[in-house]
Amino acid sequence: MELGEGTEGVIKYIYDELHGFIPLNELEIKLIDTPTFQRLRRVKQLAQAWYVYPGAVHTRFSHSLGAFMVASEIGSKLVREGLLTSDEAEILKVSALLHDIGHTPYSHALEEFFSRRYGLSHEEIGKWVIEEDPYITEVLSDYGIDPKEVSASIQGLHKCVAINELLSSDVDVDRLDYLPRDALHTGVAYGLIDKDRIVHTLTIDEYGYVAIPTKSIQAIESFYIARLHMYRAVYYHKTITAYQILMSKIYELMIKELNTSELIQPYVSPEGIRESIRDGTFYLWDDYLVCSAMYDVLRKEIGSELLRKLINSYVNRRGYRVVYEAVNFGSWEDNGKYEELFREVTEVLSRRLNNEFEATVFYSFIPIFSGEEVIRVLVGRESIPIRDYQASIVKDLPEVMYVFRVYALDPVRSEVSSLLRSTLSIK
Amino acid sequence: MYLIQKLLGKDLGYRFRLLVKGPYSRKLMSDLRRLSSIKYCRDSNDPIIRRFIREVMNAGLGFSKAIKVLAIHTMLSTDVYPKPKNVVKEVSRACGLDEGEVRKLILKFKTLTKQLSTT
Repeated sequence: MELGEGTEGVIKYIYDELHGFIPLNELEIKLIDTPTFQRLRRVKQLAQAWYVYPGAVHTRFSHSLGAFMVASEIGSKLVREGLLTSDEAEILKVSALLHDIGHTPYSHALEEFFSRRYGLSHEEIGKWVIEEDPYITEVLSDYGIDPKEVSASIQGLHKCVAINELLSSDVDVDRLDYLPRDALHTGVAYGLIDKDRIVHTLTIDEYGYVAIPTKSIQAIESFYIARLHMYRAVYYHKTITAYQILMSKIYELMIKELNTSELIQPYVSPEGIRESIRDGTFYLWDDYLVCSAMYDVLRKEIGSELLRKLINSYVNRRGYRVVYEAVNFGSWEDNGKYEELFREVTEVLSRRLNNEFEATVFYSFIPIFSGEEVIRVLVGRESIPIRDYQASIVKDLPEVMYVFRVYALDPVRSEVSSLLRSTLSIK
Repeated sequence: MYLIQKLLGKDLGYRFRLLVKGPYSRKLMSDLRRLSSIKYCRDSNDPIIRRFIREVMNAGLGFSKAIKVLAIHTMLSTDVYPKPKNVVKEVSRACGLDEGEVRKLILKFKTLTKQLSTT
C-alpha cells in the first residue's frame, strides 16, 4: 500500500474529555487497536498523582490520542499554508500518536530507575517498539510508513526540522495536550491554557523555526506560567514525588531479590525489555503487572521484610514524608549551592541511618526554557526567541526551578529532622 | 560535543536532536550552564581532541562556524532519517555559506576524521 492510501478518510471518532471528537482514519485505528497501543490504557499518565488528586487517573492512552489530535490540527493548518507536505503531516500525526508508546509502567517512577541504572529512557524503549514490535511494525508497513522515519521523528532526528520541533520543544504537541489534560483531571485551575489560539496561529518562519505571531503572545505567556504552576502543584508536588521515589526503590529492590524478581521478568533490564518487544509480549508490562507483583509479595510473604514494609507503605499511603523542603525559582548560578547541599545531606544520612531506604534526598533542577527549543515570535519575516522579545513578560520569568527535599519514613522522621538541624544548621 | 562523541566513537551520555541551528542536546545545554564544559574540551589532554580542535581553528571560517558546518553535515549524513537528497545544500543553507566552501571544509575533515578514527 502506498503512503496516503488508507490514511485519508475518517472512519471513526473517539470522544475525548478535552478535545471532543477525535477523527481517525484506517491507519490510525489499526495502530490504536494493536495490543501494544492498548497497553497505554493500563499505564496511568500521572502514576502517583492520585495520592493527592483522586481524579488524576487518566491514562497514557488518552494523552497519546490528545497529542495526536493537536498534531492533526497543526499539521492540517501547515499543509493548507504550504509549510508542510501532506506526507510530513502524516508522519507528524503518527509520531504524536506513538510518542509515548515506550513509556514504562508507573510513568516517571520506573523510568527514573532505568535511567539511573542503565541510562535507558522511555524514548529509547519507544524507538525499539516502533522499529521492532511485531504489531506496530506490521501496521506501519502495511500502510507504507517507514517505522524508522517515525522513530527518527520522535527522537528529533527527522530531516524536517519543524517535525522535530513540533514533537519536542518548549511549546510542542505533547505539552499542548498534557498541561490542560492534567489540569482538568487534578482540578488545578492554573494549568489551563489557550491551546486553540496557539494551535491556530502557530507557523514556520523562512528559516524553519516554529514561531507564533505577536498577536498570540498572551497565549504563550499564559502557557509558560501554567507550566510553572503545574510543576509546583503537580509534577513536583512533595507527596507525589515521595511516592514516585518509593515506587522506584520498590522496583529496584524487587529486581535485586531473586524470588521477587521472577514476578516482574523479563522487565528488569534493557535486554529483557527489548526481548519482550521483539517477541510481542511488551504489552503485558503495565501498571497492573507491577501492582499485582507487589500484592503477591505481601500476600505470599515473599521477599525481604524491608521490601514488604516498603510495599505496605506505598499501598497504604504511609510512605515518605517531607522533613525539609526548599523549592525556589532562580538562575543557573544557584545550582552550585543546591548540589553542595545534596552531597552534604546524602553523606550525613548514609553515615547515620541503618539503610538507604529509611530516608532519601531529592534534588532536581527544572529548566523553564530549553535553550534552542524556546518558542519564537514572528517579527516581520524573521523570528526571534521569545526570551528576546521585549514586549513580553516571558523575558522576566525565572530560568530554573529548584526542588530540594529530604524525605523520611515515619519511624525515623524526627531523628532525620534533628540530624539536619544539628549537623547542617538547617532549621 | 556531538562531533567528539562521533569522532571518538564514545557515548558520553548526550542525545542530540536536529534543530534549525544543527545538533542540539537538552542535557548538554543544562550541563554547560552548570559546569564549564567548553573550557574542559579546549583544555583536554586527549591528543585526538586537541588535534581536531587545532585543525578546526585553522580552517579559515572561525571556530564556531566551522564546528557548526561539520556538526550539521555529520548529523545529516549519519543520524537523520530520511537522509536529505543533497546534504551539502542543506548545510550551506543552514550555515549561510557557499556550497563550495562547505564542500572544501567537509573534504578536509573527511581525511582528518578517517585518520583520527584509526588512531
